[in-house]
Amino acid sequence: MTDWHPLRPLDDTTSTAWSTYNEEAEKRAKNIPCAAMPSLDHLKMKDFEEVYEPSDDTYLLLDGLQHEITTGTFSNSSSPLIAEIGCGTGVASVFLASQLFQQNQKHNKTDGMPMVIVTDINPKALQVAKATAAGNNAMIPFEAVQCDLVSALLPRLAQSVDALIFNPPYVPTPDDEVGSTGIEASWAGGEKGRRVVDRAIPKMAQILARPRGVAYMITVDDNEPEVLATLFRELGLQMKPLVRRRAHNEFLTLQKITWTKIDSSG
Amino acid sequence: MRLLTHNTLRNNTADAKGKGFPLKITATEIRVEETAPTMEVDRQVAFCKNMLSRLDWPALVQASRDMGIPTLPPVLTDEMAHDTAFLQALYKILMQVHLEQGMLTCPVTGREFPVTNGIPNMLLEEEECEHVKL
Repeated sequence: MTDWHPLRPLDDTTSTAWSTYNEEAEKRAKNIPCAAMPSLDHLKMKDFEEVYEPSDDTYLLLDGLQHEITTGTFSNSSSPLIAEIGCGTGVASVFLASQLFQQNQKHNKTDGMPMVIVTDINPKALQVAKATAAGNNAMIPFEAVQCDLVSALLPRLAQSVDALIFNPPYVPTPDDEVGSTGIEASWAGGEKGRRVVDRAIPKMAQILARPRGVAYMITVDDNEPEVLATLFRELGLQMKPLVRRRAHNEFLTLQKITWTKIDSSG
Repeated sequence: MRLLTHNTLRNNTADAKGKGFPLKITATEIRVEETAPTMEVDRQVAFCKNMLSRLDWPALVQASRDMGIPTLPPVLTDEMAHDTAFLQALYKILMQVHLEQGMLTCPVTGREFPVTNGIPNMLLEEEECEHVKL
């Protein structure tokens, strides 16, 4: 339709580059095996009235983490510190920690004991997450702190987290639905589903180890991931789609966030 | 809550002015974990070696006293940092002593943070967080 083509700057957040990343992430998601869900046998149906029940976004997150483990992203971390913001049932961090633990056992590494710290504003979620950890691998140190994002852990844990997991409340809702400490907090994201995510980005940059730390965050297209990538870039971080899958009427993407390689100041 | 975790927690309310650390522990219930038979000494020592540089030592000494463990030396020497027996004992203090029920109190403002079933509640009210620089 257009008869002229403006020169695009060499910027990987331009729409063409971004849609290529998305296509690659979709292909990747199709080619990886399904991750084995940690056991949630300790939970009753009633618990899910208060704590977010694992759903398509959780499965995509687990599949993406499994991909990262098999491709060796964490193979050089000694005693990796895993943190999860808004842990819900805790399955994602329990999954990652258990897989890394087993991998280290297999290779007989003595310095690879993972440790997990999770946060949530919902106290019931933290109790459930502790039970998830105990029920799946009681060997892994697992700590739960009730706070907003990672607020109580800063500045002491600044630049300390090797793997940061965040499955945020990304659903676009009216702004006044944001800010409870109940189950609504697990999905209500306010305008563009960004109210919590936008606040979290600078904290994620603060707590992530430099340069080896890696963060994983779920987004939907309504969040305008290209804009999120720009916000991360201003802090020296690169965000790229890792795995992507359609779920009902939305596209879910697991974004992988790393320190940009040209940045050597850290 | 392990003492390792306590070593990271700060009261970040505005009126603490960045000085809400370390939090004073008042213990109501303490649980001491048995050493898992499969947890090798090597692993514990390696874990502690990795953690040493991240620890605030005076805060740990104070916290362990609050928990009824008076044995940590006030200053960490290089010698200790390479002493296997010491590191193994340190692992026990950092990782196997849990505060199950109790209270954490800010040294500056007296703000209290309850610990329930091993989970510290560090959630702040919105009016407490204004102008906080972390």
